[in-house]
Amino acid sequence: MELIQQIIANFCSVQVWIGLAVGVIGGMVIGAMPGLSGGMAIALLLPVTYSMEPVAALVMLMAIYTAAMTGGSISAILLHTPGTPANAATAIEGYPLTLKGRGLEAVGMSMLSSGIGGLVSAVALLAIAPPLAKISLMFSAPETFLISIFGLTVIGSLAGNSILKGLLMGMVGLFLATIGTDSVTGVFRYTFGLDRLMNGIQMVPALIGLFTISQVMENCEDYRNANKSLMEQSNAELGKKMLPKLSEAPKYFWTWAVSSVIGVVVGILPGAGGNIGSWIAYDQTKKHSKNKEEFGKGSLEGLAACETGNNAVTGGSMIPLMTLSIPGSPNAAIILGGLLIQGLVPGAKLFTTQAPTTYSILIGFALSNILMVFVGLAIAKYVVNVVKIPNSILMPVVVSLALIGSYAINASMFDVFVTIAFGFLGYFMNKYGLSSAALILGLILGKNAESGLMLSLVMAKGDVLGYYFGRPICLVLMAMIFLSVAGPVFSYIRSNVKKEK
Amino acid sequence: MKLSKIHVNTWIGAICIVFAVIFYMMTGQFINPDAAIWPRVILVGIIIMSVMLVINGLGQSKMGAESGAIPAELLKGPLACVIAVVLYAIVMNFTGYFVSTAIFLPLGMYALGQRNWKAILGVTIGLEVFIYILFVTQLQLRMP
Repeated sequence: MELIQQIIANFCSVQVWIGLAVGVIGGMVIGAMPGLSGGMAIALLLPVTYSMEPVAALVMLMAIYTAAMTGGSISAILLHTPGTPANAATAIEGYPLTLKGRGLEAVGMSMLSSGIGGLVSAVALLAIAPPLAKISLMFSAPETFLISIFGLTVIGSLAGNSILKGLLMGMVGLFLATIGTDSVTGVFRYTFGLDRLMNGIQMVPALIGLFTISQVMENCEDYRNANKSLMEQSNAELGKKMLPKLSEAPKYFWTWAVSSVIGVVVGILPGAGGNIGSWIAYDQTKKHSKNKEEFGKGSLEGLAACETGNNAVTGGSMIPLMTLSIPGSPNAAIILGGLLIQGLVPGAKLFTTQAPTTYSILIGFALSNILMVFVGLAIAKYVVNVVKIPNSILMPVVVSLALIGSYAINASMFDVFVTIAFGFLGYFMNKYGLSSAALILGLILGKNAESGLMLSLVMAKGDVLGYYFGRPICLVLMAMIFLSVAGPVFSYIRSNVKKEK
Repeated sequence: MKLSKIHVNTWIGAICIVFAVIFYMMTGQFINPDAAIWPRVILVGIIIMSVMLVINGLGQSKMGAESGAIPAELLKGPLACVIAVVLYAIVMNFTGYFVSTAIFLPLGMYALGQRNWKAILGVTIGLEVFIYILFVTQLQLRMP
């Protein structure tokens, strides 16, 4: 009872509500800009939190974290420009919906799904943080490697018409991730003497190039009609429907539930992040969907899965952070700084002697997800009008934003040229049926997969199979990989047998 | 078989094989041989997939499938776009973001057929102000 009274007292502070509002609105604006991420915004506002109350400070930082992922979905859906890497999967389903005149519906579903994913992860954080945190202690190099491989099985869902081409692009992505300094041996690989390549190919410039610049190039094919807007070119009307009807909601219940759980679990895994959560949630939803043929061409179900998955990671990543000081994602690592500034040391004390502060922060995080839905739905009707702007105005503006967004990551012009190179590559990849999404996924997972494998080879001391098969979580992961690969193959064989009969 | 009739998958596979072989040979120059293990595994995988793609492409060519080549007429706009963007980036490197953008935006909009000068001016100034407020004032970014 006393705990509840102290929590209510914390929320009587105006600073907490201002922090909540700044975090949600600021996070959505930053997230919508290509190249800018929630992590950047969290890092920049960290010094400001010195002078704030602990609850207000942490609520603001966590609100930015979750709202940035949601903001990133707006540009992904309307402009095929993922605002953050976690929204790359959203662009695949969201943009085709925009071309069909259902952009408002896509943005509305994205806001709702993000809020649901974030809220579920907040409840997980509140209710079961300490026992769930023990799982992250059991993860080591072999598990990291297998999680990366499991993530790569998603490529089958992204490959479009040709699984062979999709797998080839996934492997090209894995190879591109080897460029730079090897994290295990420290050797420079494929740097050609360039200092800039010592850090490898940065994921965000590659992402902006593959999705944004290539899309601009594709829009320039019909440059004679560039004065038409996206809606005019696709002969679509901008729809007025924003959210599914109450009677339609049960259709998405299973997607929301499964994607939330996937996001929370992925979030608990150290270093995974929203990128992986959204891809795995998308893949699993597609595999079990009754409308598989809609995926890749504008599926609300697929969109819901991506956004629920990536926002559910936010709370999940805070679980090992707050209990064990192990950040579950790169953004969570920055929030650790915020916790330490306020004198909140991760561990058992957070949930015992400092419980009023901790639980106030977690409830504030849950409220930020709810506020985010309302703010998102309120601005959706206005933001979606961007598709009525003529391409002759929109395309140069998008290019300018894309280039400054690429530059902003490391204040490096090299990243700008990487963006342009990937844009050029991405245009031809799209034309020849080579999946950009598979390449990006390989690039995202490559470093984790390699470091996990190489370290586990050292840890195995020669008995690799025995080492992997002797770890229970590895067995579970290997079974999941097998099912993820074998499932579609068996379905394909079964459907062919049925056709022959 | 005429070169123009060969399916594009064959060319994609062949290009990937060439690059994969070159990069595989470069792994012999790594100071620590352990650093070459993972790239070699990936490159062998790429070579295997590429060979399968070449075979697939040749099979499609024999069956008379369309080559899948992009018509040259369709490439004019995209190539002009990428040249413009490259020039924009080069000018940005020398003159900074705001000057290069003040050149690129009006020229780009005009080239794409926009003739409303108020819109061109308004968008250029508006974007520059927005970028200045967000990136320079709020995010304290050192601009190019």
